[in-house]
Amino acid sequence: MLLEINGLRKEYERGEHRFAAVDDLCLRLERGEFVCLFGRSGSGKTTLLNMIAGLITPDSGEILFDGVGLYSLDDPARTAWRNEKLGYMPQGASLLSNLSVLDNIRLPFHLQPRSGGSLEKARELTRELGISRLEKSYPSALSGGEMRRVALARALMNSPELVIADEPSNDLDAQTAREMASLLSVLNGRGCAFLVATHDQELGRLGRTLEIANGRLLDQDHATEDREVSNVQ
Amino acid sequence: MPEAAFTLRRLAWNNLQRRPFRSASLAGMVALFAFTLFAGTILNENLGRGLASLAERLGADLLVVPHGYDKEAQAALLRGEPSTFYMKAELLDKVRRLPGVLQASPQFFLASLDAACCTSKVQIIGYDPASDFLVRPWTRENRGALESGQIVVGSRIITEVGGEVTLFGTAFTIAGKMEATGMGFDTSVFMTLDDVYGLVRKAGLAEGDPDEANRFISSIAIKTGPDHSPKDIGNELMRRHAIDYDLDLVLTKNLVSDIAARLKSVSSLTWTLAAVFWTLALLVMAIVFSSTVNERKRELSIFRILGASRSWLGRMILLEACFIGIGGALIGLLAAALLMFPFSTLIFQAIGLPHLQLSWGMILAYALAVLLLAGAAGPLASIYSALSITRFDIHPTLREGE
Ligand SMILES: Nc1ncnc2c1ncn2[C@@H]1O[C@H](COP(=O)(O)OP(=O)(O)OP(=O)(O)O)[C@@H](O)[C@H]1O
Ligand SMILES: [Mg+2]
Repeated sequence: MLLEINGLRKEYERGEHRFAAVDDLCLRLERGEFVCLFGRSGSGKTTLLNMIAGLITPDSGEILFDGVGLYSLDDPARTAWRNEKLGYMPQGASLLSNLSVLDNIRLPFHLQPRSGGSLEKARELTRELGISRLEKSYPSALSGGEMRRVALARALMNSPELVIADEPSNDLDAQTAREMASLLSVLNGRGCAFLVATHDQELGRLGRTLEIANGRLLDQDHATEDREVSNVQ
Repeated sequence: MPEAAFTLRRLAWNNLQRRPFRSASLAGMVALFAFTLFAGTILNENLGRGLASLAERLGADLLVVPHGYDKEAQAALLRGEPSTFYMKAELLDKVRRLPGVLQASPQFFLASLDAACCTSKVQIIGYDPASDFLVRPWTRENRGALESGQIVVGSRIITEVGGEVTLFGTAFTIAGKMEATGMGFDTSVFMTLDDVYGLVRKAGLAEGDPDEANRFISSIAIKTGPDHSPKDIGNELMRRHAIDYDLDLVLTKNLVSDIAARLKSVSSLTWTLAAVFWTLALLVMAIVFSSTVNERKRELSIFRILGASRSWLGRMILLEACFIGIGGALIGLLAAALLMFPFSTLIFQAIGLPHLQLSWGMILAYALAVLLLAGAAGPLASIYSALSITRFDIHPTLREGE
């Protein structure tokens, strides 16, 4: 088991009252598994992913990665863990505008002490993701689909065991979204586990799907069928 | 692209380049501070040294000059402005007989029209080696009596000891060179009184009868005894001889303390300006840094997501500030050096005070100190921002950017 989440809860304040953005959530994810997380806007997807990435501390519950409690680590250790084991594609535009495409991709390699170079690996990724010709470009010159590919390449830079993607094909046209889906499928085929928050049905076909509503996972056994039924419309 | 090290340094530099106007203005403020402090201290030190050596070695307590020539005498003494003024030589004996006068020695000033040694006019000063105490403290060689046909030259006259110089058609051997005085002496040529009179006779320089030249002198330097104040002696001298000889006095103590007072105002101006500029640079930088940290929160969050530690981000901000501090300091130092070194002669001429050039070692030491102080302004200004980065929360920031 790669990831195990038990009784996870995160509360926020909205005006006067507190509410749980993620509520008593349990989740298991095997090595190399592809899991899609569906849910309406505001259902708690990003909050959950950020907790898994070690970016926000849950109010209660535990997250075990490879059997190690994420929040039993101190911040520097958790940061180093994230850099090494996790690739995160945040929601929205997340490239650094003053770095070239190639440098954006290489960056994660250099944020923690390492020996060796990053160039070869970064080049390999750009080839694989079909963005070699963009290496010298800057993010402002890229299309939405190209930006997503660069962000994906950057998430893969340190060969993570789990890639978290927050709406990777959100505002892409159908064709580009399909390309992104097949890309993720290829990468998953090499053994990297994926946890993807999305509204894209295409991605749902790649693996197990979960549905989140009001911070809770819906009945997991039936979630897939429920969704398929509701999506026939 | 070469596999350049993908370092903090490069990222920090990159961040500065992306905001060229902001970076340049901040560096400019630091440069202003560095310029003021460096140029100011060099100026001060030069003048201070000139003054110290003047006070220490100026053997004369009192200078007797013809009436109305006290300012000219000072200018000749301090700046070496060639001047000519005369009074009767017989006054010398009367001065020597005054109670409280320990030593008195005459000088005769003559402005040369041309000299093989020098591009501009030089002041020729005839003096009496036997009774002299004004010139001797500055001479390295030939501390004994200067002989006829020999001259001693000021430190800025470019000749070698043993060489020859022709003045008004007469050749002189250079018997000695003076140490740097920072005063007009540096561009003067000294010879015996008799030789000066000889020149005047030969070249027909003086108005009236050149053969009578030896009945005139330009000034008398007086050293007073320990029990008498130069002022009292001056008063007594004026009371007895002012009417007959039409005299004026220069109290050299006043000369030195006047200069000291002017120097003090230069140095306090330097310090005040430097302090103001430093504080200003620090404040503006602190404000700009903390506001840009706010505007950069999304970018900083992305670094965190990709696995940058809080301290790594703090270091990046500090490094940016260091670049600005050191860059600004270097620009300021360079500007000061470009202004001070080529134009120092002009600057000091304009100021009109004795000065002595600092050694290169000292200049370097001052430059380093300024560099350190200015360079420190950057990191100091950014400490708050760097610390606030290590505390800020990623999640809300990321959501804002959605
Ligand atoms: N820092 C915060 N402070 C207060 N409320 C928050 C905060 N972060 C999230 N929320 C709230 O928690 C709920 C879940 O937010 P979250 O971003 O996880 O939703 P989401 O499922 O990712 O939505 P979307 O599909 O639009 O990205 C929302 O109602 C949101 O307003
Ligand atoms: Mg979201």
